[in-house]
This record gives sequence, structure tokens and C-alpha cells, in this order.
Amino acid sequence: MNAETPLAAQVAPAAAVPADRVAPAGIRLLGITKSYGRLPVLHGLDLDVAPGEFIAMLGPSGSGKTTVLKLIAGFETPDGGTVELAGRDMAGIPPERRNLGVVFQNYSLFPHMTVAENVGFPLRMRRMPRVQRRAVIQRALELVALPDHGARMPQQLSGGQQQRVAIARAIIYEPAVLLMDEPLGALDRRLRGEMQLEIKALHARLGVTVVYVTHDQDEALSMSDRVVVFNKGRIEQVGLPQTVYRHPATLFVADFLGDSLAISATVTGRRARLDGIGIEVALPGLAPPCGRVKLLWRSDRVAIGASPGPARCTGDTLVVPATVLASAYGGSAVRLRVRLATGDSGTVVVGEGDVPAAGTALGVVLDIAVAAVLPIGDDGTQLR
Amino acid sequence: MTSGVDTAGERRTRYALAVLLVPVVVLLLAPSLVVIPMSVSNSLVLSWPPQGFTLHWYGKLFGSAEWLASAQNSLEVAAASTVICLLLGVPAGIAFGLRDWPGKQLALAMVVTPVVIPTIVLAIGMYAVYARLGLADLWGLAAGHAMIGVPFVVITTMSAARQLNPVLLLAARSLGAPPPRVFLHVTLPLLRFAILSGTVFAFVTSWDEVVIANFLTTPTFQTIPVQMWNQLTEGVDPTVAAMATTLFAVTTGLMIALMCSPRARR
Repeated sequence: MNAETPLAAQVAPAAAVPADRVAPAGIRLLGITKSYGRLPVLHGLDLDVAPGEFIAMLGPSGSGKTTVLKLIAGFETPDGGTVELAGRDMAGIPPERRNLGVVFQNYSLFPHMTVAENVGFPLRMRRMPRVQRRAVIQRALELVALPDHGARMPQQLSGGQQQRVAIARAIIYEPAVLLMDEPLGALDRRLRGEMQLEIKALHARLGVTVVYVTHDQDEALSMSDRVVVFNKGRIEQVGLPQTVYRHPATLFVADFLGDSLAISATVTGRRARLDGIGIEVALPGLAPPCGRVKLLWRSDRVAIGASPGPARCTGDTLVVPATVLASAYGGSAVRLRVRLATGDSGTVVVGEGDVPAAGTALGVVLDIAVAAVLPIGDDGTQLR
Repeated sequence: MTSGVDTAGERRTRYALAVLLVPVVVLLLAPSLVVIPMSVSNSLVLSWPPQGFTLHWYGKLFGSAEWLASAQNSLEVAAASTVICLLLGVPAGIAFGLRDWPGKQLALAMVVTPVVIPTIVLAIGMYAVYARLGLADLWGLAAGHAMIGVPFVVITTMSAARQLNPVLLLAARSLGAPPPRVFLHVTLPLLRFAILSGTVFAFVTSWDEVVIANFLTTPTFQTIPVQMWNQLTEGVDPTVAAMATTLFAVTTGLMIALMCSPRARR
């Protein structure tokens, strides 16, 4: 069998058979604080993960997401707060007794054991007799589409195959929770896409709770039931992928999850007065807090018009004059960096076609009804 | 040099190095090799150049109860000393290589000190203390040799432990292995080649050690090097050369076996 055959294709028919389901565990983090020496990395963190949920922890490096994973796994101890798995406080319980699987970024297979010995290691630690182990190992290897690779050494496998073995090893004892720490980080882009589908398919089949740490927003958005966005040791936002993408709670989330365009404004009642151009618009949805805000649009929700004209607002449609600063070709779309008459700059995504040159004046067309309203401080910084 | 394309200049450099290497090798190796022809020399006293050829001295060596007793003593001392070295050196090497702790550099310096202190100084100290403790013969000598053998085990284990990927140990924990089983199934197997080479070094160190042995052995308990020393001072027959050749062969054989073991080269 071709080792790179997507597992999703093979799992799909079997998924109809409700056989392999384990009882997944929920995870609850309450008031978690953690410092390394004098460097605080987590400041009072709360998070609830439902049993069977696929949750992605997204954030830049150093934001604390991997530390949270280590605390759940029991590799680290929190300075304050509690970690609960399946309703049980995990304080004082070592990793080997937490019944969870961990998949690391790479190079976590034991180099002195064959693939089969690696996959069977958890069973051996649980004192399953050798004869019984063989069949279970074979089933696990089939689950990750490597049925004929048991006798190989890890070094003889490709990076993608090694990660498959690591996944098989982490799920073979049917853990209640599967923790994955950037498991695809070391793979090339094409293979990463395939493996994402395979991991999703495995999740659907096994029903295990998955905590998936990544710094790749596409991965987080495409794979998870919910996304947790981390920044500087705090959770910025928890929500459905669509919610965190379309309605970011903070400027950080807006920036980290993709391109956007934002206009500074001052809110009084239900109306916002836009900086620089002096236009007032009626805001949609619930009344936002009064004061300084940013009105934010995802770049794919912004259109460009040919004529810049004066700034104007008709109904929900707002047209703001802008100048193109730079453009970047990106295959299916072209990203334009623009400076608005309001003084803000942002990114607009347009289809391939006539790409305006740098310096071109144009009108940016915005729909007030789909704007996200983010409160900011008087100095322009994000309010928490 | 993996390019495969050799310029003339590179090739000249390589030849020049090879030519330079010859005298170095001869200088280092020749003194050890001199005893080999002497051991088959057909003369009644140890002499150079050798004359004729005979295996008489080997026959005499292996027929001598005295020499065989010494050989047994040497083996026992080296084995006992190696066991002590492993019991002390492997855990210490792992602690040095895998973890950071206050005072580590100082402790490491102390562990390797016996290698740089003149052996005669160590021997005098041991002689003074061990005599008082009643430590003589097998265990006294094994303890003394362990002191100079431990640094080898510590250093080889430590450098391998430094290369050990700590993620493997975490992975083993998460997969259900408590720390003692992680040590047994992951840490030790991954360090096995380093521990093996440390073992050979510790064994050889004891096997051919003469200074400490001279102080800690008794007329009724002698090791091979000590007996050779005593015989030489009495100026006797080439049996001692035959013994030296045997000693040389055992040591060299162990070292070659170690270097040829398939994974030791990594």
C-alpha cells in the first residue's frame, strides 16, 4: 500500500461502524497561573473543553499555548489554579496515570525500537501480554495506513509516516484525551493538508477529546470545533472558527487570524463618527460601548470601486477614498495594502485581474452591517 | 570531504598528511610492538635484537601457576572495579548530562580529578588509608581502580546523555511509563553504546594499572602488571615479554572490538 494514501479515504467507510468509540473526557482549567523563574507565562487562565471536542489552541510562539498543553499532560505543575480531567483534579497525578495521549512536533519515536515496538510500548507499559499486543498493534497501524511498516526502524520512515506512527502510538490504548503539540509543524505544506484531513477523520472515528496546539491559523480554523486564541499568557478569545474569524473580540485576534481593514471611530449612542472624514454611520447589532473603537472588516469582505470620489455613506454602504501602497500577488487572490482617507491603513483582497498599481487612488467599498466593532483605548491600544 | 571532486591541491595536501602520519604512528606504536619479537626470541634473557624463534616462553607462561593466578587476580580486580565504575558512573553521567543543578560544574571537576592527579600521589594516599581500613587485595584494589575508571564512564555517559532528546522521556511518561521504567526501557537502551565504551575503558584502565596495584597488592595477591614489574626488576627470562604481548593483545582486542561495533561510531 502507498504509504502516503490519505487515511481519510480509508477511514470513511469504517466510520459508519460505531465500534472504536472511547469515553472521551472533558478538560477544565481554573485560574491557572505559571511562571518560569521570574518570567510569568500564564496569568490566571480559565478554559472548559467538552468531552469529544476538537479544540485548537492558536497563538504566536511564547504566547503560552504549549505551556497549557504541558500542564494538561502533567509535564509541568501550575503555580496556581487547578487542572481537571473528566471531573477529577489532576494535582499530584503524574503523566503516566492521566490516561492521555501526546503527539509531539517531531522526533518523538524511540529510535531503538521498531515501529511495532513503538506502537506497542503503551500496551507493554500496561502489561498486556505479547501475544495480545500483536493484533492490537496491527489494528493501530492499519488505522494510520501503515499496515506493512511494523518491522521498520523509525529512521527509515518519512516525516509524515513518523508522525502517523506517533499518532498510532498515542491512541492505541484509547486515551480519553489526545494532546497534539504542532504535530504537523515539521511537514511540508501539501502533506500537512493531507494529514489535517486524516487527523480530523480519526477524531470523528474515535470520538476522543483533542487539544491541538498550532500557530497556523488556517489549520486551527479548518480543523477545530472551537478555537482558543492565546496572546502573552492570556486567552484573547474562545469561539467557533467562524466567530473568531468574522467577529474577533480584539485587534490581536483580528490581526492574527488573517488580513483585515480597520477604521478608527468614536461611538456615541448607536452612531459612530469616523476619523478624518467626519462621516457618521449607524452601527448594526447591539449598542457598542461609547468611546473610541475600530470598525473592522475581513479583507475578503472589502470591495474596491474605480472612482475614489468623496467619502460617502448610503444606507449600509460606506465608500472611503484610499491610495494603493503596495500589492502582492498570491495565486487566486491579490492582496492590496491601502491607506484610507481616515488615516488608517489596511489590506484588501481582490481577485486576479486588473491589479491597481501602487499610488492609484480608488474608493474602498465597505458594508457597515458586517463590520466588527472593537473598543480601543484613547491612546489607540486595545482594551481588555 | 564529501564533494567527490578532488582538486590537485587537495590531493597533494592529503599525501603530505599521510607521509607526516607515518613517523607519528611508528613513534606511538613501536615501543608497544617491540615486546612481540622479544617474546619469541630464542635467548635466555630479555634482549634486543631478538634471536631465532621459539614459543617456549608462551608455553612456560601458560604452564606457570604463578602467572595464571596473577591473570585470575587481574581479571577479578578489573571485573569488580568495572562493576563499581558502572554503578557509580552511569547514574552520575546521566545526572550531569540530562539535568542542570547547582554545583554541577564543581562536582564534575571533582569527578574527573583522579585523571589529572599523578597516579603515584593517589596510590600513596590509598595505601595510607586503605591499610588502616584493612582494604587490601581484591576489593581494595578494585576500589582504587574504580577511582580512576569512574571518570571514563561518567564522561562517555554524560556526553551521550547530552545528546538524548528529552522529548523521548516525556513521551514515554505520557504513554504510561513511570520514571523507573522510562529509565529501563528508554534512557538506558539509548545510552547503551556510550555505557559499553565506558565499560571497556574502565576495564582496561584496571587491567593494565601498575602504580596503585604496586601499593595495594601483597606478595600472595598479585596482578599481572605487578608481577611483570617484579620480574623485570629481578632481570629474568622472556616469559615477561610473552606476558606483555598477551596483555597487549587483550587490550588491543577489546579496543578494536569496541571501535568496530556497528553503532559505536555514531
